[in-house]
Amino acid sequence: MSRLNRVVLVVDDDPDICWVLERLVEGLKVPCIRALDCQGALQAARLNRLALVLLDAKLPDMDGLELAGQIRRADPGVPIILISGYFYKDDHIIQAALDQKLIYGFFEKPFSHKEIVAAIENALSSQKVASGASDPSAASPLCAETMGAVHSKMDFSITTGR
Amino acid sequence: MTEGNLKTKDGKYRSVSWVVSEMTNDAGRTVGFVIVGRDLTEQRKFELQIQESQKLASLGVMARGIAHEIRTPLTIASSAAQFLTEENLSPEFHRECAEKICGGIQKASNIIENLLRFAHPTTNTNAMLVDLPSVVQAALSIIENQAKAQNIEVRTRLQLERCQILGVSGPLEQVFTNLFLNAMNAMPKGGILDISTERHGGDLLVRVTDSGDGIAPEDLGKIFDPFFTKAPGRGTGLGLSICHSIVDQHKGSISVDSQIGKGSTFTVKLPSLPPAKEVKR
Repeated sequence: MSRLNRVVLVVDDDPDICWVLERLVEGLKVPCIRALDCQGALQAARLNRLALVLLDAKLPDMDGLELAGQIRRADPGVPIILISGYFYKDDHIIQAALDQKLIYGFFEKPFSHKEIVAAIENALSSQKVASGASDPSAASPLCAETMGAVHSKMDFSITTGR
Repeated sequence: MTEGNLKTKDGKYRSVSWVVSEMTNDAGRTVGFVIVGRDLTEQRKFELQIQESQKLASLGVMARGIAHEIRTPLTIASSAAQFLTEENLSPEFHRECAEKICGGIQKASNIIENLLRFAHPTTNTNAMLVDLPSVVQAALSIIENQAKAQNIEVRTRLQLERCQILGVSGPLEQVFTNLFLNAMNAMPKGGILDISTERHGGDLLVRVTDSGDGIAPEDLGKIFDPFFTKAPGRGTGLGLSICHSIVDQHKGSISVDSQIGKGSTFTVKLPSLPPAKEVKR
């Protein structure tokens, strides 16, 4: 599954959470890198072409949603999935972040591997479609979707089977 | 201005503030007084509402903090267990998953224990003579290796004579361990951790000084609040509130001085035993 040399960036200050997410991403044959704080994440974002960011909400040096804003400003196309134990799925802060399309989706910790892998695949597919379209908005038609614990409101999310 | 309660016809009380102004004539003689009473009932209601909303806000911060801290190790245990349901795992990965499950559960359990300690700090019913420098040394031995790894130089100036207090050594050791770890968290790129003890009147003082970034003035009033943290990845935000609670149980106090860019000093003040009651070392 080639993603045009793009990588998935995992950002979490807990190395064990990175261990989990890296294994899940690498199971999809997608290259994955990790950052344990926001500065590391911003540096990784500068040095790599990101296909997706899996982001914790609470980091030592910056709030996760603030980091999401900075990553999106630098690369508006990159989808970000927030994975956090700090918020709940219908939390107004999460709803606002989804409504503003700051994040692509949200998972509460602990999460189901099956559901998060499906969301990662969706996000990667949507990016591929968006980057392949001459007009990125052309790839944003249609199916905002909700899958179990996933809350995704990005217009261009497209479902693919595993 | 003074405040007092007025009893109303229906037997209820109303809080009233009174302001008395003197009236004088052209010659400066007092010819009367004007007394104005202001019903404070609505103001008191408003203040109560603010207090309640502040309590709720604190509870919200606390609940989010607990959720974040406990869900992280739960996630690790849950994910490792999900990996174990996959087929064709190597024995090494199998063992790694089992270790992650045990580690995650242990971490969650430690957080819960800290919460319990915060909610029900050890009382002084088991208090006995405690040699304070020994407690400080015991806490130091816990953080020594981590300090070296973080390139932190530890300097100690411990007064060794007449430094006994009535207390419980375990929780006191936790106080100093927490303070040292807190200081070290303030110096992620290394620095100096200075620890000193001294007698001050009838009290023993332990000062823990770091050369870190310091604490912003607007945060100084919140640092002992449960789950308040500026570094969510590096601690639960319970450490200092537990310290405060334990020191309070020992009839002591804990204070902080801090300057941005220069560092912070936490001072623990504990009542010492009168010299006659001290046991010779």
